[in-house]
Amino acid sequence: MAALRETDGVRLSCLIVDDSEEFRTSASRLLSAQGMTIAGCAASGEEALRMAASLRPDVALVDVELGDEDGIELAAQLAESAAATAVILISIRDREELSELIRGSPDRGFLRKDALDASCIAQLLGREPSS
Amino acid sequence: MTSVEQQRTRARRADSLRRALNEEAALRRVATLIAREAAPGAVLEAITLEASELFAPAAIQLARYERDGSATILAGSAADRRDGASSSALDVSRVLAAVADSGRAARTEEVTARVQSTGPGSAVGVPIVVDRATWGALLAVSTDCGAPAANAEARLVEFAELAANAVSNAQARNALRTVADLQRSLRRVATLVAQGAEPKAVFVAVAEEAARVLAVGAVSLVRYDPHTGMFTKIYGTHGERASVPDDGQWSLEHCPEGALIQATGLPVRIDDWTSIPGPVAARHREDGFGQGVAAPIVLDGVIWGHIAAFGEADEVLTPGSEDRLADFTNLVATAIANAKTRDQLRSLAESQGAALRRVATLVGQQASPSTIFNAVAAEASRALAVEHVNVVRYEEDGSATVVGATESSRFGRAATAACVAVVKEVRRTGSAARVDGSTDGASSVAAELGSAIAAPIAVEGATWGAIVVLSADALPPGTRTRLTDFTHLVASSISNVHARDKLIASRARIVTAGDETRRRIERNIHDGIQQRVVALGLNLRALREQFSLPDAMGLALDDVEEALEGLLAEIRDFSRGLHPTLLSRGGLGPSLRALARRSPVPVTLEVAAGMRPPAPIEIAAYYVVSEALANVAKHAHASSVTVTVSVDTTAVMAAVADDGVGGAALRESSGLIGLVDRVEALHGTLELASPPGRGTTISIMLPLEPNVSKERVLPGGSVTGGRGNLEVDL
Repeated sequence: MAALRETDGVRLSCLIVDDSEEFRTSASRLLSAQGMTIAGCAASGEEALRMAASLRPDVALVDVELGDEDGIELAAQLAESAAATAVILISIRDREELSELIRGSPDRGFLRKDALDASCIAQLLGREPSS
Repeated sequence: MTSVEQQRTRARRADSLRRALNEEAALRRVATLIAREAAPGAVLEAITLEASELFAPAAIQLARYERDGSATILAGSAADRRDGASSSALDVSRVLAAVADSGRAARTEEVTARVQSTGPGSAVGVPIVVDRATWGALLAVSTDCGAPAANAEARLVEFAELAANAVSNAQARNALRTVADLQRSLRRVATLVAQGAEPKAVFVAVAEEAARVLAVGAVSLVRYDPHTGMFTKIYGTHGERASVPDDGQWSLEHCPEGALIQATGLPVRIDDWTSIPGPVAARHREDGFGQGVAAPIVLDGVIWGHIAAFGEADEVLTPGSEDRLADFTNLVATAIANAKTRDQLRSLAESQGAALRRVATLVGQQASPSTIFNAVAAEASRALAVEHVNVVRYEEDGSATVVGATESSRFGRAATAACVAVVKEVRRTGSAARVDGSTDGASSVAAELGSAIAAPIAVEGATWGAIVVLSADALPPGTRTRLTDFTHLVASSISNVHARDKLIASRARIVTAGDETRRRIERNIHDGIQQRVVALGLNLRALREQFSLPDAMGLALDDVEEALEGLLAEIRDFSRGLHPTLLSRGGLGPSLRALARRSPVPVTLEVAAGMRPPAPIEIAAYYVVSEALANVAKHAHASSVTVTVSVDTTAVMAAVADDGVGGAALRESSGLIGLVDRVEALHGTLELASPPGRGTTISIMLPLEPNVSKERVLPGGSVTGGRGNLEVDL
């Protein structure tokens, strides 16, 4: 797969919110290899809100099952925060299984974790990758 | 004095001495006979013989006086037996008469002083006195002229006393023998009674023993019916000679002895039948019967009937015969009373047994506790013949709740007060208690209550509650004991319910533990394995981004990525089957919608869930729908299926109905059987309707606390389910 190093000369910044350290590490590695900037990683909702406020990433990737916390709830909070962070929900489970939960959520989209991909993120955000 | 005179004097003295010695010896010999308890006849003979020796040539006669005034010569020397001169016979009878009249010694001269003597001869007689009555006389009769010796009376008296002694002994021995006989007879009959012989057998034995003891030919045992005024012959010993045959009846007016007994209640004696009217008395006379005695048989203070004994026409019954009869009547009364009691007990036992069996059947069918308690109250009230029965449960806070009762509501405050008192007492002591109603002067309903008895219901060593019996009349004795049969039944049914509850609770725990384990495993998988596999994939892709790889390697890595995808998908499927995460996060609505979406057979879903029920119930409902849908997909060949779920404050109801081939069953092999366990562990119910060709419907009901479909029986519960809800504060 060809690497996308830039879109319109702007690298998207991303906040990864997940309670699994392994995922945070591997996701960071992949996305930065694919040309995204990793603004930061958060393991809890509280951390995520703080970091989103201060770092103002382009997007936050939020795990639906954030440990014991509700990722969907956090997504709403992030969207409504001053930073108005765009949220893409992620999960090990597939969309169909979670559709009932995420329906009506103010997120920009859903990605299954193993399908994580910078260009998909860009697409969801409405930024076209340069062909 | 000449020597001849002296010699004569000496001779006379020697003679008298010899005579005296002989007399002493004779008396001693007789006394010895008496001491050796020789037969009285032999003693009297011996007396007469010895006396004859001493009084010779006079003849000795021993006579006994009879009731009619005549005298019977019992013993006499041979000379007289040959019947001596009529003159001496006349003298004898005169002296006998004189002795009889005066009770003292008499001699002919005295008599002939009054009566012309018809010839030579003389007689001296002394009375033989037994029990202060002149029993007979001892006579010395001489045929030669001349008065008997002056001291004849005195010498005769010694022998007369011995005779009296012998007779008295004999009479005493007879009396003893009679008493012993009577005792033996009574013992024989009493043994029959004690062995619980049927009354008829006892009647026959009594009649025959009485006939023997009283030495009569005829004894009858007769029953009296006060309503009809008729006597019934139960048994008679005199067979065909009886005026009335066995089982025959005759009226009060024709039974003089019976009528007298009914009138006086005492033993009676009828001596003269000649003037008694009626056919029965006539036959009595014709059959040759005479004097009769009868004694009443009394049972529970009422004259049940009588025993009568009849002598032959010319027989005289021994005095006191009617009293000896009374000994037998007591035994008859006891036998009848015993039989009555046995019969009563038997029918009581039977009716009580049937009552207990009916309740036991309910227990076996696992009827609800309130059904059992009310049934116990109803059956106990019938079996014990009391109007009002309560079944009461003791609560932890000291109060008591009526969990079952009979329908009657006649009782007022007095009954409640007595019920409270006796229930309190039973709780305090742990054993049965009785309270007899006392009049509360201020209350007009007080008089309603006679007594209250309560017996404890003991379950697992503790006093769980009590059965209370209330009655306006005094309760019969034995009620308390018979109550215990019912308390035992109630206790065992409560134990059963306890056991069932404990079993259900433990099953629920097992199910919950299983669910919990699966949830943990699923979580671990999600957090652990799945994350690592995902990370593995992401790392691989990162590597491919970071480094240029030869195409061949790229292709090979594609395969690895694909394999990883497959692995993840597999784990995901496994995980989904393990625990419905969506359920715990989102509840029944979202998770059931997800199930519906995944179903190959189109699902019409109706969920009305106003609230989220407790997790075990939610999970159970989810699994039921999930399993049912899986079955529909596998077996039903259906074109559509409808899932209906409703949740409210009392229960969760769910139904899955398909239009397939039907014929499903709760077999061990089907996944449905596991659902039954899950549902029952939550006190719920599962029904399967699957007529062949008409589709299958599975419906469940899972109750929410408080448990209203099946009442709990553990104390402290909030549900009573009883009648009248009479809360009794202790």
